[in-house]
This record gives sequence, C-alpha cells and structure tokens, in this order.
Amino acid sequence: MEEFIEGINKREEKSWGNLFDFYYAPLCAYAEKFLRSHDIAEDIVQETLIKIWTSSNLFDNKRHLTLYLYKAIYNNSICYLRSNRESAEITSNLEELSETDFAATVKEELFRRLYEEIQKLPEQRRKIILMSIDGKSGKEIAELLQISLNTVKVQKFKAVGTLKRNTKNTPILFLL
Amino acid sequence: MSEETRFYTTLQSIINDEEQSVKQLEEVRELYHRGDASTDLKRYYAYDKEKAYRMFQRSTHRTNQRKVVSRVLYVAAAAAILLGIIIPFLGKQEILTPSTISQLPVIPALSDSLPRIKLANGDIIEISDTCSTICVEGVRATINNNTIQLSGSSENTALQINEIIIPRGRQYRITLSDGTSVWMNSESTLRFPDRFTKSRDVQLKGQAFFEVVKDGRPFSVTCSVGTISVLGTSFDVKNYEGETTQVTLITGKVTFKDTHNEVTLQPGEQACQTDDGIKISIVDTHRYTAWKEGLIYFDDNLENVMRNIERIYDVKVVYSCDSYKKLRFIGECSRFQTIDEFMKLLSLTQEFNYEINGNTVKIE
Repeated sequence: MEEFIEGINKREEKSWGNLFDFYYAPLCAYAEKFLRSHDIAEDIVQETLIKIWTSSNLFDNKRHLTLYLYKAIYNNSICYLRSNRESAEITSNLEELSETDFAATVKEELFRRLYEEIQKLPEQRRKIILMSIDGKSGKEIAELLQISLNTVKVQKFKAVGTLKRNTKNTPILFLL
Repeated sequence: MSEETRFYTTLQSIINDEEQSVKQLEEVRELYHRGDASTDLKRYYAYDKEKAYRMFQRSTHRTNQRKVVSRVLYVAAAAAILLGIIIPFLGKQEILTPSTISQLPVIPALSDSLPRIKLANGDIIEISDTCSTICVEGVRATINNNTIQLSGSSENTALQINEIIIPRGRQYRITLSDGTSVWMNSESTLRFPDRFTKSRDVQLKGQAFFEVVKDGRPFSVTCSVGTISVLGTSFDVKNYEGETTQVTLITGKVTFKDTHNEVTLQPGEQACQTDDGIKISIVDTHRYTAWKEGLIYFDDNLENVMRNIERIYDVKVVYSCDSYKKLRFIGECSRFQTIDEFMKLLSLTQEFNYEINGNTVKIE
C-alpha cells in the first residue's frame, strides 16, 4: 500500500500534514460552492477531517480516500444547509451526487490534482508558479524574488515540465 | 458501475479530452481545456492551510509527541539515557496513542491477583476473569473482560457502602449505577454506596480516571487529603500512599478542597497537594491519563518510575546501589505483557543491569 495511505490509516503526522497540503484548500473551495461562505466551509472541512481522524475508518488507496473526502464534505455541507447545523456525520452513503454536483466534484478533483503537483514542487519553483498564477510577469517575479530574469525563466520551464509530466500531459495552459 | 469507478473513469476521459455525453461534464471538459486554470487555482490560496493544520493538531492532541522530543534535547546531559528509550518508540508512538480514537484498548492482566468486591457486611467476593454476573445482597455486577458494570439496588433497604479493590497488575473500567465511568489503575480501591441518593459520593485510594455523567446531582470523590466535587466532567485523581496527591482536569470544571484550601481547576490544569498547600499548574494531560489507554508514560528519576512499575507488574524493585535511583528517564511505551520486556527497554540505555527473580527485580 502507498506510504501516504498507510500513514493516513495509522494516523501518522506526516501523512495528515500532506493531506492538509494537498486536500484542505480544494475541499474548502468545494464546500464553499454549496455553502456560499468561506468561514463555514473551513469549519465543515476541519470538523470532517477531525471526525475521520478519530473514527476507525481505513482506506484502501488514494482513490478511495479522495472520493470519500468529497462525499463526506458534500454530505456534511448538505446536512448543514438542511438543518442549519445539527450534525456533522461522515456517513458516505447518505446522498447520491446529482449530475450537476457530480460534475462539480469531477471539476474540483481535476484542479486539485494540478494543485497537489504544485504543492509538491521545490520551494522556489512553487513560488514562481504561484506568482504566475497571480498574473505577475517574469520581470516582476525576478524583482520580487531578487533573482535574475533568466533564472525565473529556467525555473518556470522546469516547473511546467514537472507539472505536465505528473499530470499526464494534460493541458496546463494557465502558464504563460 | 460503482460511483468510485464512474468518478475516476470520468476524470480520466476529461483529461484525455474525450467526448462527454452529459451536458455538465461537457462544460467541465471545456473549462479544463480552455486554458485558464489560474482563476480556479487562485481560490485555493485564499485558505490558510497551515493555520487549519495547527487547529487540527490541537484538536487531535498531536502536539504531545513534539514535546517529548524537545524535552529530550533539553536534558542533553542525560542524552545517552534518553535516546535509548525514546528512539525505539518514536516510530510507534502515533499508532499507540489511541486517546481520541473511541476504542477501548485491551489492557492485559499482568498479575494473577483478582479484583475483589467487599460488601458492607464484610463478605469478600473475588471477581474471576471470565464473563459473569454477580448478584448478592446490595450488589449486582456484570463482569466482562476488564470492565465491571454495577447496577443500583432497590430503594427499600438501608444504604450500604461497598468497596471494589483492584490489585496490582490489573486495570478495570467500572460503570457505576448512574452511568459514570471510572477507570481504576492498579492497587486502587473505590468505596461506593449501593445506590446514589441526593448526592453521589465515592471514596478513592490509589489512582482513577473519572468520566462523570451529568444528571443534576453533585458527584464527589473523597481521598485521604481532600474532596473533589463536580457536576459532570472528566478528571484523573492520583492519591497513592506516600506520594503527592494530584488531581488533573481534562474537561469541565472541578473544585478540590483539603482541610485548609479550596481551588477550582480549568481543563488542562492540575492541582498538587503539597506541604505548602495546593499548587495549580498547567500540564500536558496526556501524561497523566496515558495509563488508561494501556500506556506507560514516565519522566522522572528511576526510583519514581519503578514505583509505578511495581504497581503495574506487581513486583518489588531492589537496588544494589542508591545512586541508580537518581537516574532520570523519559519515555512512553505500551504496557508490555511482561516486566522483562519493560526492563529490557530501560536497560538499552546501558545505565544498569537487571535481574528478575520471581517477583523481585534487582537493579545493579
């Protein structure tokens, strides 16, 4: 079994730290779609993750975990909307996703995968990519990071290469 | 097709830019290939995941491990001792800390002595290991592994005070007739009435962790030095003869009163009864409640560490030289089946040798 999943199952700090790195923000963004509140979305995600940590749930692989997380957040968001907060259950079979919500989940996961790969980049390359996403030009980035424009270009080229490889050559066109 | 399969097949086909039959998915595909993922990714950076993770760690009591490590560095002079003990467990510790997982750890019996119930009339009933039910005058108890469930008696008899005695080498979880749970550590005695009336009063010798059920009636624990009063909360009381009495509060609120003083504790605080009165300090509560999860936690000189071990394994420790008593040890491990396993671990530090002879452990 993957080291990451094994660590999640054993409630190990390293894996749960990674889970926050790769999933926390996307899950919040996902919950916010339904809840339309940044703060409530964060609360629901936090509560759900704590519940999973304290439960005896075990995951077979990353696919299992990923879909489980979306479903749990979805259910808890819907639950919240319905009862305006009474329970934060993590039952994963409460709701079948409607077509629209299914599409929203697929979309979130597509972007989450890019995000995960960005999170895994070395520090400097990640900074450069984030600044590009933010709309900054190569020159601006060079100034902000106090490195040469050429370094920015090289690092960005390498970063994009890594991202493309790791997301199986999907079009990542947000980069210049 | 299962939902999981459908989900991942759809993801893959969008990544591969394949035709989609459902309208909503067609939109996702277009969005994904349109080329502006920036807006979508930017939303993610509006969340503070570091802050969220710190909150998460606090809720799941995960800061404990780091403290152990930093303490190790702090007492660098004793590093040789510490590293030997700490290292074998660092890897394991997270698995071994089920304090927030709501499973009852299986705590093995480490001695052959059996717990006993002493009735008001002086009769003593031994509780056997197998599942059974005891139904005698004033006491109805169901025993299952290391739990004992007590039920209240009828109200037309005179109130009787019974006693439950947990010997060395054993730990039991008792449920009182009001639903309150009491985890009793080795060599501890609890006196309780056969039913609770207006108030709920029990007496304790030794160590126990209480999870008091709120039912409107006050609950009080009296020990040799004072009384702890609560309404509904969880806390640990340690009151072994010849040792400092400690009350550690986990949740809720308790007051602790001895002959001269009265203090109120907040969660995470501990009251110590000393000759100069009651001292309150903020403590790492895990340290004082680890025992009920089947763990042995220690951070003390060898003499005090072994005093606890004597109770856990029902042994007697002798030293060939008093200087060993002052060696300091820090660590956490599971309550091993035998004293030998524990001693083997301590002796990894190569600070001493040991010999086990029957119930006597000789440190030399």
